[in-house]
Amino acid sequence: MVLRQISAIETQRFAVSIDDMNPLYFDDDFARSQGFKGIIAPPTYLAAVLGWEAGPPQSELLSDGNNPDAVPQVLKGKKMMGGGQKLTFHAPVYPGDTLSCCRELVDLRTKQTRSGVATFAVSQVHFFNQDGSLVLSCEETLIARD
Amino acid sequence: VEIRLDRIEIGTAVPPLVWKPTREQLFRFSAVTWNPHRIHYDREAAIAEGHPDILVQAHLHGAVLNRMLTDWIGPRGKVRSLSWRNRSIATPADTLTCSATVVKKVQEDRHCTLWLDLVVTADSDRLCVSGSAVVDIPIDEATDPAIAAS
Repeated sequence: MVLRQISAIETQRFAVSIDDMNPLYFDDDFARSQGFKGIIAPPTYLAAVLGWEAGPPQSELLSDGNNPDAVPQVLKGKKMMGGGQKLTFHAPVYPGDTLSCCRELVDLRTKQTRSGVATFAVSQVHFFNQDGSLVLSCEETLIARD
Repeated sequence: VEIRLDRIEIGTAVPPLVWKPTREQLFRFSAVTWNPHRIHYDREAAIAEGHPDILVQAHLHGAVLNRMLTDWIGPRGKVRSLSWRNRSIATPADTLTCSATVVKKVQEDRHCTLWLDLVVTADSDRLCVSGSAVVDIPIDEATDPAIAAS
């Protein structure tokens, strides 16, 4: 599915929120001097965004605040938290790129953990730019408890 | 300052990155990633789910680990892959230390690939995150004077 065109302001706000003032994210001339076409997005940005559209109105959010479209159906109503990601960076992502992605739930299993029984949902996500080039692969784990 | 490949071997430690997550930071990170999950900004909702306070986002751990690596390898280095697992929660009460150790080094013709183990601890002893990364660094007179001269 097509996400949208990303802007420099959003990738720079992301960088600011993590206190990462890397000039590759802010200074076009510097980024070009390092062999890039211009400033790049912080590499973990795409896989950290939970919604690319305006999103549902407040009345449609789940009671824990989550966007129902961003949560696998089987986990709704459970107590969720991020479990981590495996990211493989294939190519730089530039503000101005129009991105698309495909997402697939690849594993769902219930395990005993220190803090009780938990469900681990693993999704595989691939991000592409407007040229159809794969820029980022992400395997993401969501942990859910009753 | 350029990274010096001739000074890196198995066991070399990356300069640790110590940070203290703040409420403002968690809020801004949630806002910019359009993450409405209440456990990251609503203390009462976090407590109702059994947590002591609002939680550092899993994605924020990853972003800060990436920052530690890029601060170290510089703009000409490339992070090829980065993975991390959350092992315990982190909150604004914690001081977090990101650290990394080189576990494998392969020298190619024009670049050097390093494999690293990553760890984030809270208040120096509680394991919050474990992970791994692969980075590439170009070999030239700046990063490895001896090799470039030979």
